[in-house]
Amino acid sequence: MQPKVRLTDVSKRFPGKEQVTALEDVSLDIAEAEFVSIVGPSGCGKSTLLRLVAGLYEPSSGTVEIQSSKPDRPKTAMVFQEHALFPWMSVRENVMFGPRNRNVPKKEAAEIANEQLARLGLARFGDFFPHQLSGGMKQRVGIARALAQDAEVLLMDEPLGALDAQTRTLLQEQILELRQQTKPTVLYITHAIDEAVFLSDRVVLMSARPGRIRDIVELDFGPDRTPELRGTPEFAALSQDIWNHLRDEVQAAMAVDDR
Amino acid sequence: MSWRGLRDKWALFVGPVVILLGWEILSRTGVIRATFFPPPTEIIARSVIIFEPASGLGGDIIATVLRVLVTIVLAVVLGVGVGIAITASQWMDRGAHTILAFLYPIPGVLFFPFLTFLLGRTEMAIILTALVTPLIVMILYTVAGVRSIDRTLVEVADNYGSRGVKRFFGILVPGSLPSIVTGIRVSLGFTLIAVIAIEMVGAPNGLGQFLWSNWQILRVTDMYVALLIIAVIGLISSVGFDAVADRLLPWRRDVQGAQI
Repeated sequence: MQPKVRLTDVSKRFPGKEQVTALEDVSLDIAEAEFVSIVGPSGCGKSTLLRLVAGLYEPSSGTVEIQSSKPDRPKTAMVFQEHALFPWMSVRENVMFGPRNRNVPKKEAAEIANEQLARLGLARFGDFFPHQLSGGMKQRVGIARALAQDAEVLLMDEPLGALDAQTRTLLQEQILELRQQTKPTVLYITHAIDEAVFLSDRVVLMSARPGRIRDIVELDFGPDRTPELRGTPEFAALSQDIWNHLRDEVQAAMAVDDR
Repeated sequence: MSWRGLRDKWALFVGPVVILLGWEILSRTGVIRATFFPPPTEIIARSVIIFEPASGLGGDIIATVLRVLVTIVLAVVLGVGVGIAITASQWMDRGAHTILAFLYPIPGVLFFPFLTFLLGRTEMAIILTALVTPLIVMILYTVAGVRSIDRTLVEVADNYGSRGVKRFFGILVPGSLPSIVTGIRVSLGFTLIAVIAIEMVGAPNGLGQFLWSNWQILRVTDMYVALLIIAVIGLISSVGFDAVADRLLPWRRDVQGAQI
């Protein structure tokens, strides 16, 4: 079967005084309804990779292919770090943003938005403005906005990175629940190993710059896992294992920073 | 404003009152020549000519206010449009900046003779001359506003398929609005200055013309009345605009410490 997302030998170089190679020869297939996380040291090109899939950047070489299931279905919908809500739009208008850009009638778009907001426990907050919400609520609006797109692939760029530990744990569980309900194809970026293990089918480990895929760890917890997974010895062992893989790369990245 | 508010702001009034009082005394005692510097009370008393049809001052006020309004509206609409269009391409951005940097320091009034060659001494020539500086100000502030939009928000707009008219009115205008509002505040001042200056040299009516012609025949008190009215219009426009500006940016209203 053709994978949902296929990256073939993707490289990305940013021109400048000192040309920076952010990604080098990255090849990755993501299957329909698969949840893939990418972890790696900061500056390893994780965000660049996500932006290439989102079409925000063009690859310097190689190709990014996304299979369309319906002709007018958006290819990607991205959840950004730091929520990135439009401050001048109400919460509902923010969630309606994607559908409205696709010329979905206002009423219908509002219904989609209300449905997604209700799903994330924000039904009462449609008329609020982002600055009136807490950090965790804003990020849930960001997720609702992406879900309202019903895109082929859901891209998440360290969506919980800016939140406190408790909110983060809670939102991880909410994302897991979404995963079980709608079975989206997800490419998820995080620097938290436990988060990647908790949510994903596969964890992609990346090397320090230039970013290459160093290893791919398959997790066989299945989609029906529960929050209790976090307490199991397998979970701890896998997280430790991934950290062992990653330690060298993080140290290498720090050495580059120190130079 | 409550009593308490007034009490806190008393310092605002001390300066003007001291100056006017000093002027009044110096003029009354003959230290400065009352012919050229009539006492403020006399100027204020003379202000009733606003309501005398024979003086024509009422019509002059209306003419000036209309010119200011038309000019500022044109400056905002055109300035925001052009400003955002410029940011659409780097090439345009650079090209336009050279032109703007060249035009900006030229006093707007100097375009009047040139425009009269094309348009004659018409209302159109007056408005277009007055428009030069505020338009440039609005373009520059709009460009700065678009640049100040958070890069991530632009990425959101791209990823969520925001294009064309929807992008213009949904993202670019509101995103640059804080800067545009500041631009309008600055432009209002420039517009009033330009309109008065042009009226002094080349308009058949208006406060500038009234002031200038009364100066020429040394009807000094009337000249000062016009000056007073111009100052009051300036004050009303800036205070009035501040009141409106708050409503333009509702999402900023209760952000702590937010500056418009």
